[in-house]
Amino acid sequence: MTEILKVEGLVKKYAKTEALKGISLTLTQGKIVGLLGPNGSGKTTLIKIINGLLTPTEGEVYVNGKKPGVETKSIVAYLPDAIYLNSWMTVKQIVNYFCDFYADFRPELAYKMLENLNISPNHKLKTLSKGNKEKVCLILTMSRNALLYVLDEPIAGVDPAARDYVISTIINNYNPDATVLLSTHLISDIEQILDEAVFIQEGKIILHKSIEQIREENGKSVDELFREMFRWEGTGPFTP
Amino acid sequence: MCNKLYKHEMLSYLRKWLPIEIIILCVALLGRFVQFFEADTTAYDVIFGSTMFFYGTAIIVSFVLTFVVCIKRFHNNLFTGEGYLTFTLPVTPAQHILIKACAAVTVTLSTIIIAVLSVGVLTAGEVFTEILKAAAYLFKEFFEACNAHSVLYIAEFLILLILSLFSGMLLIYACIALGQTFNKNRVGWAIAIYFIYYFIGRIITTILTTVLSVNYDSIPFEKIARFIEKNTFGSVHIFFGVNIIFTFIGCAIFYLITHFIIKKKLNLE
Repeated sequence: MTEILKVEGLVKKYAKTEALKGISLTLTQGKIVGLLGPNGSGKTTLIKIINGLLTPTEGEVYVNGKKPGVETKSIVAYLPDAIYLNSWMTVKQIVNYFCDFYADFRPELAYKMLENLNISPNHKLKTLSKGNKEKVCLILTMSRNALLYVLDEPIAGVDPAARDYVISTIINNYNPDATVLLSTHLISDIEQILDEAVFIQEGKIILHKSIEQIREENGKSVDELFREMFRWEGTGPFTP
Repeated sequence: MCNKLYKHEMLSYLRKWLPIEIIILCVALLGRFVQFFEADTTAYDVIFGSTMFFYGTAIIVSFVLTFVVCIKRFHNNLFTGEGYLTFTLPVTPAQHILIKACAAVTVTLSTIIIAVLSVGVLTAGEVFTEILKAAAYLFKEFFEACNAHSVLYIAEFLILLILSLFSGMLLIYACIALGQTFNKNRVGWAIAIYFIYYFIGRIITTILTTVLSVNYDSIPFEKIARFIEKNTFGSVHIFFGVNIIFTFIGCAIFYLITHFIIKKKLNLE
C-alpha cells in the first residue's frame, strides 16, 4: 500500500503548553481513518500542521512523499472545524472560486449535492443557517477528487439527522483510492465507516489499529473502547 | 494561477471600493450641475459650499478607505478564518504576497486616477479647458527644456511612484506578518512595530542631519553645486535613480520578511 501521509516526531509547543508531544503516524491509501480523542487532545493542531497552517516546533510531515506546499495542497482536500468561507459570496461564486484553484474540483457534483439539499447556488453564504453553511463547506471539500481528505470535526456542529447526510456524503463521494482522515469525538456516529482508528490523548498517539483488530483484541466496539480509555476520573458530575 | 488570484483579489476590492468611487463621481457631477445655477445669493453659496464640502470629504474618505481596505484585505484574507482557505490553495506564499501587493497598488492608483477624473467632471466646461491649456503649456515647456530627457524623467517618476506605493504596502504587510509571530494581540503588535519602525527612521534621520550640520564645513557644497551646474540633466537622473534603488531595496526587505514569516513561521489561530 502506498503511503499517503507520514508524520515523524511531530512536536508543537505554544507559549506555555505542548499541544503535540512527538507524534509519529503513517497512513496508507484507500482508508477511512478516524482521528479520535477528547477535546484539547491535539487533533486540530495535528490537522493544521498537515495542511501547512501551523509550523511544527519539531518533526516533519510528508503528504505523498512531499512536505506541505503547493504540490501537497493540490491533492489534499481540507475541511476546517469552523466556517472559513467569505460570507458575502454566493454559493455559486464560491463554487467558481474552487473551480479556479483546484484542478480536481468537480462542479457538477457540487451542484448536484446542493440541489439535493435544496440550497440555491444564488444564495449568499451569510443568508444560510449555520447547519447549511457547514454542509456547503463539506460539499465543496468532498467535490474535490483528492488523494487525501482531512476533515476536522465534520459532524460536531450538525444535528443527528444531518449527521447521516454528512456521513453518506463522505462515503459516497470520496475517491476510493484516496484516504480520509476524519477527526471527531462523536465516535458512535462514524464507527461504521472507519477502517482504522487513531486515538490521541494529550498530544500523544496512544493507539493506531484497524477497526477489526480493535474489535477482535478487545471484544469491544471502538466507541466502547474510547469511553473506557478516556473515562472521566473526576469527582463525579457537577451538581448545583 | 497568478491571474486567477489577481482576478479574485480585484473582485473582492471592487465590492467595497467601487461604491465610494461612484459616489465621488456623482458628487462631482452634482457640483458641476449646481454651478449651472450660479447666482449671487446666500442659498446658492450654501448649496455650492455644501456640495464642495461633501465632495472634499468623499475624496478624503476614498483615500482613507482604500488604505484601510488594502490593509484589511491582506490581514483578513491571510491571518483570520479566511486564511484556512487562502493557505490551502495550491499557491506559493510569494504569489500570495506579490499578487496582493499588485492588487492593492492597482486600487490605490485607480483611486488617484478617479480623484483626478472627478476634478475634470467638477470643472467641466470653461474652467476645465483652461486647466487643460495650462497643463499643455507646462508640458510643452517641460519637453522643450529637457529634450530627450523629458520622456526618461516621466518614466523614472512613474517607476518611483509605483515602487513607492509597493514599498508602503509591503512595509505594512511586513508589520502585519511580524505581528503574527506573537502569541497574543497580534494586530496590536503589528501597529506597534509600524510605529517603532517609523520612530527609528526619524531617529536615524535626526542623527544624520545632526552629523551633517556639525560637519557642515567638511561638506564640499561648492563641488556639488558645480557638478549639478555642469550636469543638470544627469543630476536629476541620479536623484531619481538613487531613490528608485533605495525604494526597491526597501520593497525587497519588506517582501523577504513577510515571505519568511508566512513560509516558515505561519501559525494560524
